[in-house]
Amino acid sequence: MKNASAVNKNQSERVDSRAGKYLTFFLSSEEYGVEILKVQEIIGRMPITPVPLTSKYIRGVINLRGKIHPIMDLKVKFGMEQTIITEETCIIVINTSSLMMGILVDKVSEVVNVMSGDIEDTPSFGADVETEYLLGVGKTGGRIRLLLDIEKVITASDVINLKKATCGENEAEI
Amino acid sequence: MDLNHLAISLIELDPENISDLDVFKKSLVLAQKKARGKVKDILGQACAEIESWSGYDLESRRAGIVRLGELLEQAMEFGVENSSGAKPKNPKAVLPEKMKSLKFTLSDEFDADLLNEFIVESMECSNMAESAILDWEKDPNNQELLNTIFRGFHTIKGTSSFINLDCVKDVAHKAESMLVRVRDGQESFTRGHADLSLKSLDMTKSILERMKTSGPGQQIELPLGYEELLDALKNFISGTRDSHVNDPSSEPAVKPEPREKLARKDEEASADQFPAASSAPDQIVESTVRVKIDRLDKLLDTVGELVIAQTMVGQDELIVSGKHRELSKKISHAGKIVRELQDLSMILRMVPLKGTFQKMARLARDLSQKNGKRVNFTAEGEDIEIDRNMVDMVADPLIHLIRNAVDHGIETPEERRRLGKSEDALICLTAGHVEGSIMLTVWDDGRGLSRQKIVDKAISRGLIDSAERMTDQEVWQMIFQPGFSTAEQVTEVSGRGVGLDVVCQAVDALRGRIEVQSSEGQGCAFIMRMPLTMAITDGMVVRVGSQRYILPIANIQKAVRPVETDIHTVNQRAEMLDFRGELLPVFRLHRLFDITDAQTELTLGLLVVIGEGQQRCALFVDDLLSQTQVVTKLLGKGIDKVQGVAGGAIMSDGTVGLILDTAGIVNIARSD
Repeated sequence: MKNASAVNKNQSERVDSRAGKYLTFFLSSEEYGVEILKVQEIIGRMPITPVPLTSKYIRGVINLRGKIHPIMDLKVKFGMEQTIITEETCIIVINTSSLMMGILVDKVSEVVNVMSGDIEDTPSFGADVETEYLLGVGKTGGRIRLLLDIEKVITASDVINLKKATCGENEAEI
Repeated sequence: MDLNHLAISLIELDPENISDLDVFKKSLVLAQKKARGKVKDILGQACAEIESWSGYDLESRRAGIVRLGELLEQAMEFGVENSSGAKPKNPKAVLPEKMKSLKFTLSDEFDADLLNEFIVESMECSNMAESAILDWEKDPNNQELLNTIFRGFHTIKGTSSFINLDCVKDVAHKAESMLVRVRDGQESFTRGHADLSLKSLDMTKSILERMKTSGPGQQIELPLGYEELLDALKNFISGTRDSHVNDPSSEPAVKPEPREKLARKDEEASADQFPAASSAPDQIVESTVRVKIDRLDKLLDTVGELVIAQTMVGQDELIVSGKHRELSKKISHAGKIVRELQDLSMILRMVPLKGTFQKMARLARDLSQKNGKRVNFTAEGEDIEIDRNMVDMVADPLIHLIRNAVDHGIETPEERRRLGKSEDALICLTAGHVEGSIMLTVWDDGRGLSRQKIVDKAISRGLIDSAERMTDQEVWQMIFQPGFSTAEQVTEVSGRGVGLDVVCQAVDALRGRIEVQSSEGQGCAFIMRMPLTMAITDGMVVRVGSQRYILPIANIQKAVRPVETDIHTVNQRAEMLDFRGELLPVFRLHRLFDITDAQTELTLGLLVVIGEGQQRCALFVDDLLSQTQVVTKLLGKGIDKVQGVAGGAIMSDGTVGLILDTAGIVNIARSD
């Protein structure tokens, strides 16, 4: 018990940087959030050109006002099934300091203000479930929202190093 | 005459001018008599050296000058140790520079934007002055050129003192002081003037380069040889102006006090005195606006989108049905304007070759001086414009070719005289438009290529067995082979081929071609042809299943619809196409790219022959759809580099099309 409260205390000191406004969206039934400051815009579904020999979670590229941007299928990235494009499917364009990339999500939900008191650390599930991309879990209005460290998601080395990924992964699967 | 002075006159010494040599000898002997200790000994050696020249020919005299330079440098080093007060400096060029680095702290009163502005502006002034100096050398009586040079230094001086950049200001000021007497007709132009002016500009530019990487308040390291240059300038001024050495008031254009704080005032004051000099820029320099390149790119992207949006409106059912004639008319009118806008926006990227040509002129001048050759460099077509992204890429091959021409192509003046040619060799750089592409030619009237030497070399390297049936053109093409060129014999004897494979690669990267025309003993021309812009790719749209790709036309040799008998298999797996009697491997794009809904029957699709030489192969696609011109774009930062894909392009329907990289595709296929 003593230990646990110590951890809690640590958390409340740390969480401040995680508090703020989040854009939330659904991947299947789970609700995720990305910091609103990293979001450039939300666009409806549009034709995505697949790029051969890239990682499976790169769905392809789109033309956004004359510039080409890659689109990541977030569900594939997180080890779920490929996103099926529906009326509600959206692309959230993420703009970080280093790059711009669209992420494919099933449905955009809302913008919420997550207070530092509502944020908890992600529990550990062992090696099976990757939680390194999560900043924490937000609990507001009785709903659980998984707060993404989106920069880490889209700049993780396996994204950049597609060549390697194509040589290893794809061929093994084919 | 002190040692410094002696060294400077040594640099200016013309080995062909005997009376100059005599004058120099006298001052050397005089200096030797005055000197003491070790310095005296060394100068003694120098005297002996020059004494022995009487029987020398030009070439040996030239070598002798280099030896003298070394001796003088030694003497000066001892001079530093022995004499306490005098601080001899090494003049440049002949003598290696002392390794000394000075620091200069940029003023923090001004923000980075202002500094940047200054850098860009001063660079422009320097380039302007540089080209004027090169022209002036040919036409020393042209007062207008002189004014241009003057104005360049003057503006640099003015603006640099405004931002308290004393290191640049001092150089510009001294150079200006040097030139003022020439301008006023009190002195005539010499090579020394030109050399020092150019060196001053080089120094200014390298300081500016260094400033680019540092901000206000930061320290920059002054380039090597900075002080030496200042001293050389000072000595030159005092040397040529015996009686006015310490009388700066005799230079009307230059304010006597270099530490003038009120820089603006300074500039205005002298501008008043020389209205002609300061008002002239308006007449010469075209009025331009500097635009940030990313804004320009954004504009181009947006115009591209506008074209697509316009096309979509134009192809809307409502319009195509032909029911609304008035509306159709309006839309087609808007379409015309949009296309015009697109053409205009493409021109925005174009810049004239002038800057590049100017660099080449300078290069030819410096190289020929160094090699003791006399070269008359002419450039034509410097107003021809190319895509700004290509400007730097064009410079590399040109530098190589001009270096080659001066180093190896052009004979020494004696040799030329013996051959009955004019001693002044010609190197001609021309640019022009040919059939929608740009043609750059580097021509010289030197030795030309030696067919025999190249053939011998090629045989000894095992490239060919015999050259009996080869045309000259085929022989010349061999000099572009990598490794062919670096061989000693070829460079020395036939005198051609240094780094030509590098030239060839650079031209390839520009999607161009290079050709040689040569006649032995008469000269040699390298002709490069390249597209006007790299931004636009001519391509064929090919279909593979539901996917479309763009194949650059430059890479396509032929597309054939194969019949059963053209196809042969190996091990029941690998396939080959019999293409005009040549067996080419067949690579299926749908297999390489893992496309499932594509045509798999070879005879129902198309085979596109791509690649050159060993890389030649037939690529299997479903169909050729259309020809297109697209703007090559990056796939975005999240996708690094995809093998087999050169980039993306926005297609006419607004989606992204992938441009294939044929070399990459062959690599994928081979590595599978």
